[in-house]
Amino acid sequence: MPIELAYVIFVTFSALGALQMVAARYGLQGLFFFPARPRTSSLAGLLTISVSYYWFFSSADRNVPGLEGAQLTFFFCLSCLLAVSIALALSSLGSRQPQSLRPPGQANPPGSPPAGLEALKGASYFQLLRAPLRLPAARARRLFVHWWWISLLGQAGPASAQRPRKARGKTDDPGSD
Amino acid sequence: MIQEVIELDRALFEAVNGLVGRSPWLDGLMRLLVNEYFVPVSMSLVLLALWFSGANPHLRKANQRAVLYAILAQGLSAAIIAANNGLYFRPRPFATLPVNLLYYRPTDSSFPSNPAAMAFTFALVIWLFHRRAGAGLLLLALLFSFARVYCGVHLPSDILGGAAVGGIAALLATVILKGMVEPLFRIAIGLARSFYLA
Repeated sequence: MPIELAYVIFVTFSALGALQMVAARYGLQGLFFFPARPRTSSLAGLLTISVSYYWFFSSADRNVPGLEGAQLTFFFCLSCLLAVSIALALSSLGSRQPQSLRPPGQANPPGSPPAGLEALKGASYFQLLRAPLRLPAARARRLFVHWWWISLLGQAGPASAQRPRKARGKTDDPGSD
Repeated sequence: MIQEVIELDRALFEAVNGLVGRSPWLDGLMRLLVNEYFVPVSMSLVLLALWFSGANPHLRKANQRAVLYAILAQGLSAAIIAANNGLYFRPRPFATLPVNLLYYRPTDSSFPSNPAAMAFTFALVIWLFHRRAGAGLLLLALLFSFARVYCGVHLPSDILGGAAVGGIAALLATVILKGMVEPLFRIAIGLARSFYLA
């Protein structure tokens, strides 16, 4: 296996493990693989890091010329982005029911999640991304319903004006007296 | 005076490198620590974890600023090393001394130690913001530096030079350039927050 690929696999899995551990420590449920079990996530993270280190350093001699400094930086950043994306995607796929993730008393009204990582304590990443889209959609739906009622009443309006008025005793007609 | 320092440097190197072959487990540990992967990846993973850690948004933001300062200082450290390498070249110890070599033969300048500069830059910047994580990283930097001397790729003075470069880069980033980069960091963190990533 080329060193570039081995390095990316090693860093991606190690970063995934580190993310699981830190998410479990700070309750960032939107990063967990096992939303209901932070302890399991933490242990899985530690195991992932250990296995990836063991695999990388036992699969080949690493004390030979390999990647240069700039390559190491590039592949590390790439692997970290990959790890964060995998963690957010897997966590989102694993939590289909939004309310099951929300701790009591921290449920947010739709469309207004708390900004930043704090929001991942109460919802998965996909739910958070969908929330701002959901509010304009709801507004548009409400506007459409309003417009539909108004146009319906508008159609009914001229018809009612043509109807003969009922006599109510006294009239404003000056010639009637 | 300079001759005495050079002699001391060589004597220290020989004392540390002379330990090779006495204990197989120590040789194994040093061979694990000396390469470009184990310590640099471990330190960078600490930075990644620090980005997501913090009991509340205020503490998390402080940690994220520390990570951004560490990245900036790392860039400065690399620039200092590159500038130095263009002006001065010192041969590796295995080119001039009898050495027990446990690593391949790098061809770049021995002074200042690039890996030591990288490790101390990270450790010192993080230590300024987060004492516990910084202490852990300093321990890793010291182990990494010791491994470089043990395996015969650096003299102790190279390590001192690298640590000095790390200190200068940390100072430049966190004190001298602070006013200039702080608004940029605030924008970067704000942007990441809008995508729920900070």
